[in-house]
This record gives sequence, structure tokens and C-alpha cells, in this order.
Amino acid sequence: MEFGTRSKPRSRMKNLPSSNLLDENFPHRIQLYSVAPTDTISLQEFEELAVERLKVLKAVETIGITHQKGSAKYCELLEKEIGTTKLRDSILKVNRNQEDEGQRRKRDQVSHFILRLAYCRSEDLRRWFLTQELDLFRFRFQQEDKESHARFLASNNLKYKPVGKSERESITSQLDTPDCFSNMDGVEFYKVPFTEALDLVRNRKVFLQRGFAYVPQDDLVSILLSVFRTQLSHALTVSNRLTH
Amino acid sequence: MSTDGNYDPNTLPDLLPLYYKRLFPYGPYYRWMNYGGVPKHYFTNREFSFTLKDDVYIRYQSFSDQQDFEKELQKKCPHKIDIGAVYTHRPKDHKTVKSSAFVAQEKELVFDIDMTDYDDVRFCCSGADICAKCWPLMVIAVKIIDRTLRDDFGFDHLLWVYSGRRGIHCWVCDEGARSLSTQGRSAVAEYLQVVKKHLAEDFVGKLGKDTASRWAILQKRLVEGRSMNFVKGHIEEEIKLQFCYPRLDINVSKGINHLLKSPFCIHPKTGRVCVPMDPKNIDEFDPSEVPTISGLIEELDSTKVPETDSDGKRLKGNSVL
Repeated sequence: MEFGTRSKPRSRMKNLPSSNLLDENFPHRIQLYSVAPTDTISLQEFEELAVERLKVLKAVETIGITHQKGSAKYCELLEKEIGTTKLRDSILKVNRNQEDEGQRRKRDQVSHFILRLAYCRSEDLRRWFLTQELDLFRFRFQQEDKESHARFLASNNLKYKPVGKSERESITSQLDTPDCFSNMDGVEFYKVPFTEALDLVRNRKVFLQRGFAYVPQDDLVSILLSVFRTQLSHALTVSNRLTH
Repeated sequence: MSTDGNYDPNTLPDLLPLYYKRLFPYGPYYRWMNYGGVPKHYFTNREFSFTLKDDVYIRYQSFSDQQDFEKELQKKCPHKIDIGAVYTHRPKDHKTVKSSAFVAQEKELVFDIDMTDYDDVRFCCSGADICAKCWPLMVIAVKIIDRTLRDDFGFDHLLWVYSGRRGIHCWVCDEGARSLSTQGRSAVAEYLQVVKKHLAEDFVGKLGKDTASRWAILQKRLVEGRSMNFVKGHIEEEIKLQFCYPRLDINVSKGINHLLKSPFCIHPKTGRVCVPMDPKNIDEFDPSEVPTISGLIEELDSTKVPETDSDGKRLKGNSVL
């Protein structure tokens, strides 16, 4: 990448009203990056976003090697590392005022798409980028609560329906090992086509019936990762073909 | 009535032309491969491969319609036919297309169970042979896999086929199965693969005079062991599982472009036709009763069936087409 001289970045993006961004384009803090940004930014901003996101992804990679992903120590360290980058407000869950939230989410989106361009060029680069973005997604998603999860599903048109009471009863009666869940009543199950729960299917960690997987809410992130992986993998391949 | 006309592999080159002219079921076969013409080009973009005499192997064969297919088969008389994937372009034209653009898009989800994978648990035969004692292992495989594919995965259109010698294949033809990704295929196969390591522990030793008495002795020992607290857990079930659970070759199921032997071709070593089996009546299927090409030709000659029947003779084991 070629960059201009480093001076204080003056971004065109800051001129866009935040509230519009929030409602229309970024209904949730976490994104699947299915829509590409269409505005223009300065070269300086371009560089900054690329460099900062790369720092984030490198942190994800390094900490993931030495600590178990999802563990308390992992989350603590990762949060600290990301906190040292300029994308911290866009990536981390911090108490923030709503005013700049749109801008923050925009930076998340743009920085992701910039790195896509850089990392679509070869199979190795694509694999690396995909792995780190998936781990980052998992980290961020697991920081959210149940209500936020439901909002995420809704805003992304993911039609994973929680299973209704009577269907649930017929399913849980077929689960042979009730000691999997000490209290089944509180557990929400989502009915998902098996093709979107492949990781759970391949390890036989989910109940299947007539092509649907009945996924307990704790395993929901596994489904989303599957969806995210498929989308991003495809997008990277397309980017590669278009730009080379 | 035995259809085993004392097949001699050396006669295969003479018998095949007759088989392809008068017996191969082109009609049902084309109807299957064409999937009702939806989507278009499904048949024309399908790869077939032929093994000709002297083991000459040619890939990327494709045909424009049933007539073209018939003509080529009758002309080339392949000793073996394999079915591959549906590609983005006609396989026979693949050299005229940029290689990155010529891509396998869809194919049936397939499973291949080979009796040689059970060699460590069968003592009646080994290698390419099968007999009435070890055939039940295939019956178990059909029942378990058929039920799982239907009940768990929701697939409905399954074609089970006997390969003609020591194995069985399953072709899952549902639209969802044909468009499954590589990851999807391997996930289904891994889900099915409950038994991976094969324990060849020779627990039977030299006890008892036959399998049944050995099992009885083992059961008695297990009961004794349990009462003395030596034995814990589900040992009987574990043994049954290790010995009998279907053993799949995952690599066959994973690849979208994997080529698998076609139904209705002739097994060169046994002369038997690769016939469909009915999973609902799998207990009745007897591999030793499967028609051989020599037997069929003999029957044809003796009954003088008119040659107009292009759908071919109805073979044993109801076709599910």
C-alpha cells in the first residue's frame, strides 16, 4: 500500500450525522460486514484504519496462541491489547455516549473492508484474515448478553427461531442424557438448518431431526461463526477475482 | 433360479456390446441423471469417466442427451463407468475453458462401504471375497446409514447400490444433498463416523466351536465379571459397536468432484451387475443372486426377447428410480 504523508487525518466521514448511521446501517454494535462502505475517505484515514485494525487482528492472533480462546484470562488480555489501539472504541464494549456510536461502527466497517482488499490476494492471506476475524467476532459476541444476541439475530435477518414449547418438549424427551443440562427449562433452543451448524453436526454435539439442528443458546455463537465464515470466505474469493 | 452363468472374465469384451445394446436401462438412467431438466444443462455438464479395455482410463466424458449417451456407450463399450460432478461447462469441452473457470458445482452426496475395511473383524473371508456370514455387516450398514440420512438429515431420495463384489454405495439425490459444500459433506460423514479406531482385539481366542457359542461364553463371563465388580460399563454394547458399526471411507463422501462407480455397470471380476437394492427390504437381498452379464445374455438368447425394449430387463432388487 502506498500512503501519503502523515498529518492529522481529516475525515469526510465525520461530517455524516451519527443518528442516521446508527439506525439504518449499523443496527447493532457487532456486524457481519455484508454491506460494503460506499463513501470516500482520505488516504491518511485509510492508512490509519488499516494499521489499527491490523494491530487488533495481530493481538487476536498472539493472545489466541498463548491462552485458551474464550477463557477469562484471554478476554482480559485481549481487551487490554485492543484498548491500546485507536479502534478500541469501535471494537470493545465500553460505556459510551450514543452520539458518536454511528461513527464508531463506521470505523469498524471500513477498517474491516480495507483489510479485506489487502488480504484477499492469496490462499494463505485469506486463511489468516478469516481466522482472526472469526476469533474477533467470537470474542465480541460472547461479551454481549442474551437480549443483545436476540437483537443481533433480528437485525441480521437470521431466522433462527427459538423453538416453541410443545416442539421443545418432544425434542428434550429424546435427548438421552439429561445431565447435559442441569436445568433444561431455562435453556432456549434454536431450530437451524443443519448446513448452518456444521461444527456442531460434525462432532455430534447437537440433536438433529429431519435436517434441522436444535441448538441450545450457548452454542448459538457456533452457528453464527459458521454463517460468518461462509459469507466472508466467499467475499474474499470474489474480491480476489475482481481485483486481480 | 441362479443367474450365475459361470462367468469368465475373458469373455467380457464379447459380452459388453450385447449388454450395452440390449440390456442397459438407458431410459430410467437418463431420467435420473437429468433430474427433470431442472436446472438446464444438468445432464450435459455432468462428468462421466470410462475405463476401457487394457485399463485405459478416460475422464471428462460428457453427452448432449440420452441418444448421444447410448451411442457412445455402444461404441466404446466401457468396462467400467464412473459418475462425477456437474460442472460449470461441458466436461468434454473443459480444455477450451480457463481452468479456474471450469469448476465442479454439484453432485449427489455419496457413501461407499467396502467389506475389506472389516477384515479385522471377519474371519470367514478376507480381501475381495464375501459370503453369507459377513454380508450381514453390509445389511447393518444399510439400515443404520439409511435411517440416519432420513431421520436426522431429512434426506428422502436415496439410491442404494450393490457394487458387484465387496461393497455397497449410497447416492443421496435430494437437491439439498447435491448442492452441499465440501464442508457439509464431510460434516455428514463425520457425524456418521462413530467408530474410527478399529479395535482388533482378539477377545475370542480359541474358545468355543463357532461364533454363536463364543458369544454365549463371553456373555456368561461378562455376567460373572459384573457380579464380582471386575466389569463395569457397557462392554457388550461397546463390542457390538466396534465390530458392527458401519465403516465409511470419508474421502469418498467429501469431494464434490469425486468419481464413483455408476449403477448398472458390470463388475469386471465377478461379471455381476451393479444393481440397486431396496433398503426397506434389505434383509431379503442376496448378493449371490445378483445377475451376471453372462447369465443375462444366456437368458436373453434362450427366451428370444424382442430388441425394441430400450429400458432393459428388470433386474433383481426393485429399482428405486
